[in-house]
Amino acid sequence: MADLAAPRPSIETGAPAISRPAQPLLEVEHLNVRYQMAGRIKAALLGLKSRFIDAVLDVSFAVRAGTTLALVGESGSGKSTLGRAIVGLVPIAGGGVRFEGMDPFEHGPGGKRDYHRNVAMMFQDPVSSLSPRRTVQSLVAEPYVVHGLKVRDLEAEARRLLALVGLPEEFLGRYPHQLSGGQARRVGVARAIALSPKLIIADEPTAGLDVSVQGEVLNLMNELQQRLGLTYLIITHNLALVRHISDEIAIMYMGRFVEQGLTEEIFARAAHPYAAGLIRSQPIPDPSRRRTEAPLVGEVPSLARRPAGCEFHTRCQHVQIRCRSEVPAEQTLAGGRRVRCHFPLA
Amino acid sequence: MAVTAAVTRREPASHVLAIRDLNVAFRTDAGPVRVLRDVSVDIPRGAIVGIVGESGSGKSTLALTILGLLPGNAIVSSGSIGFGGHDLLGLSLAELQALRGTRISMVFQDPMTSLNPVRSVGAQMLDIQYRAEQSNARKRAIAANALKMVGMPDAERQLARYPHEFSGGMRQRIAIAMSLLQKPELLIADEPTTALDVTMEAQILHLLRELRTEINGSILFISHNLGAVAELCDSVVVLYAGEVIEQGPVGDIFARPLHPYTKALLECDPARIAVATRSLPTIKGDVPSLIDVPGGCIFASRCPVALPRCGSEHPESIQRSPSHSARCHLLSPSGGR
Amino acid sequence: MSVPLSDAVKPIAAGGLALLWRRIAGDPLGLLGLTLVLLVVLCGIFAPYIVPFDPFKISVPAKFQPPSLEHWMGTDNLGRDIFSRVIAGSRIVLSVGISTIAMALVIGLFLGLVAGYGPRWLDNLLMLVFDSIYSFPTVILGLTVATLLGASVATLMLVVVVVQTPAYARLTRTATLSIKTSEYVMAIRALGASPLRIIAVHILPNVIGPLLIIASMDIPSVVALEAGLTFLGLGIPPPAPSWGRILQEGYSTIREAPWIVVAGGIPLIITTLGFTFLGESLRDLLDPRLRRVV
Repeated sequence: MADLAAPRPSIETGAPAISRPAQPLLEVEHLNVRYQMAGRIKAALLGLKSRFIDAVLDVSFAVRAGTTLALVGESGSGKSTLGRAIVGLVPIAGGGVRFEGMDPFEHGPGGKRDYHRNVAMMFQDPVSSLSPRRTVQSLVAEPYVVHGLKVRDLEAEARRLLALVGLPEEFLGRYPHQLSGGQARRVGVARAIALSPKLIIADEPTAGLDVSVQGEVLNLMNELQQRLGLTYLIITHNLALVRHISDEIAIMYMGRFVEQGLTEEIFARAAHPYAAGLIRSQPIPDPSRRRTEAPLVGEVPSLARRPAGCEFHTRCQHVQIRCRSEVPAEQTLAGGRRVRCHFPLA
Repeated sequence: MAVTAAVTRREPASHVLAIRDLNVAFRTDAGPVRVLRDVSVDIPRGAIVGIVGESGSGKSTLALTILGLLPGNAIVSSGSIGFGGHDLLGLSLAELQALRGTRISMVFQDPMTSLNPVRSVGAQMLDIQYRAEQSNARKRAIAANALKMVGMPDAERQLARYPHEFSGGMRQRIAIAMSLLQKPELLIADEPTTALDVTMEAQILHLLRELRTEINGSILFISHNLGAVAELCDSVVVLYAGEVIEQGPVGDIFARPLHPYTKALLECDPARIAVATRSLPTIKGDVPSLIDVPGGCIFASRCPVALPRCGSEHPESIQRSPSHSARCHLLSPSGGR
Repeated sequence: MSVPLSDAVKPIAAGGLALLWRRIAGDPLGLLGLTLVLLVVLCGIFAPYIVPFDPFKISVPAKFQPPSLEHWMGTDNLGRDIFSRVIAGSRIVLSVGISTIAMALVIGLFLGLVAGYGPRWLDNLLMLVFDSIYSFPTVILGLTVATLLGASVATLMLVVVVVQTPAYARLTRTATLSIKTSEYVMAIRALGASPLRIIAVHILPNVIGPLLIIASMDIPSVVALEAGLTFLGLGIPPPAPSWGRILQEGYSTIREAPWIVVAGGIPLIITTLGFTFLGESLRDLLDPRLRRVV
């Protein structure tokens, strides 16, 4: 480990998470992401109210350095879009992102380059997020090449990264299709930590992995977080895992944050009816505690036809007249929990 | 005679399906991959049997074998699958086709790919009833009724719509309605909730449980999700690397697992870990090669309590109670010595 | 079921050309393809030194001679040595077949990448152009161009390039569009890679394999197109010994001299098989997932 590459500060001596300043590493303020659904003419012909679909709507949050925030939601909730918008893969329609207090997209290509070094992204499918015609070595070393970093010995660097994620050297010459799901995930992690980023955004880091393997990947991520002082933004639908791996969670419904706060608090007593229903929808692996009915009925409405008022009112068991017309504002409960509901449960 | 012996031995009247000593392999360049070895499973009439296994356990191959839908490079080298007095493995293609959809039907993981995208739901539901000699109006009524049964609002109107107009959860409901049209004795559901969100999954599990009482059929529920199996099934078969390593009533499997693999698998499930932890349990090692299947216990290389004997001697299935058994030397009277 | 493959698979760059050669040599059909293609290419290059007779020399008294030791493939209606004409014809295959396909391939690849990766309006514009060319019957297009520019080898090549380019561009565009949205391209974009790098390193290698196979299989059909246009008087002007011309001439005298058609057909078959086998073999080499263990 002595022969570390020039442009990279030593990974081993990365400051431990606790000693970091109190300023959040990542701040997102009133972020909106919208997709165009129809052209002007088509929209006029169809009489659409809006040509756009709001995939992410008025989302604000902050992640403190060294902690893990989990974005939880069902498919179509906008959680993946939000992750992609933060790294700049999807254009932002409104609001902003601040990384270490600065807008990463403001300072031209240079600022963006630094940002991409500091924020790494891991994609859902462990195998298909690796380019199929490249060897593990070239995949792991690719971040250096992309950023034009002069590293004396790319192979040694790749070997060092593989060692960090617990893969033997033989894997350098392999291709993605020759890896098991867990091994491919480890390669993905190695790639993500290559440039010693400060923040890693992981989209469903355990998707497609067996139960006996997912623990391995999460333990590795946890170990790297401790050693390298990493901050994680984990996007997932798996609530059973989130309870173990995250410090805070944010629950998304139709592009909005409906509740965010400390993981243990929300699991102990969710304030938003959707959050409560979602947590209770997780199947319980104990046949003696079977549920007699599904906790949440109905379906998520189409994003093109958002319900008036609170968007969850169509499925909410506690719905009242006010919910059908008035959009609830975000309110802060005791303990710093934030919730978007007229009648929070907690 | 072997033939008559096989017939008499096959399924007692209380069983819909009786799989005996099934061996299935896939031919590959590197040699035959023995994906199922000596698998025996009974499905009692009216019961929901869960098959639990991780990737590579052979659980989907088992479903395809029952329906005779194995790919061309598969070899069924021995065993029998008793169903309604027949051995399914001995039936001709025409006889099998007559059974599929009417007496045995299947629901797949992805409802988007198992429905034909260019035909309306109603047209597809009428197609399934092509054997029935009834008027089209009557068939439509049956179809609408099936949709009603799976909780589809406004069922009659939905018949004219196309699969893409429905959400994933609704499509899976339609697929289930289609599979139940002919009131099959056995419904095979291969990971029917894996592609769905948790709230939809809970709804579909609830639906399957309700349907069981209504149609009086049996369900073979294949899943890697321990939670879903615990919610739904009466009994559980644990498959590991092509072998049934444990089977028993759902309460016993989850509360008193016998096999070290079952124990380890249950320990790994984060939903079963009460206190939040950053260090999750795992099962070390990899599934062994199914080309050169190890001579001893199939789990020996990863087993935390393996004995010397486990590496060399293949364990027999040992009955702990009339309905609960496991393949493990530790259960033998000699305690594995 | 992870089979240890670490010894069997090494990155292609490590061994370079020697390794490439070893892999081709390990694939009998690929080797046969390469041999046949080399045969045609060498004949084309060294035609003047190989031909036993002048392929243009008319000797009416010696017409319609069946194959003999002197004239291996007999003579045609003007008494020209068919073997010499076949050998000389491989030059035309090289110039018209291989080089035009190569040109169409390069242009098509470029336009396809631009259409697939570039802005939407450019994609729409290019597709409009490609579809227009597509909808034009090849022969009519050839007739028009030949009438405007006069029949010559250059005109023929122009027609072939114009006709073939859209096919490659469309294929490239479709592949680019699907790869562009794949997770690994997302992953590399999240690293901050430039579009140029994404195209060159991640999209191109995935597109070029199928393209090469299709292109190598197109070469014979281009030779056939050349024959067809030549027959209509729009291709290569008469005395030139193209295989298409030999076939056409042989066809009209198939009763008197059946060997002419055979002589014109054999090289066409050899070329077709050669390029097809080579194409298939190349695809396996370019795709690590299909790469066989040597």
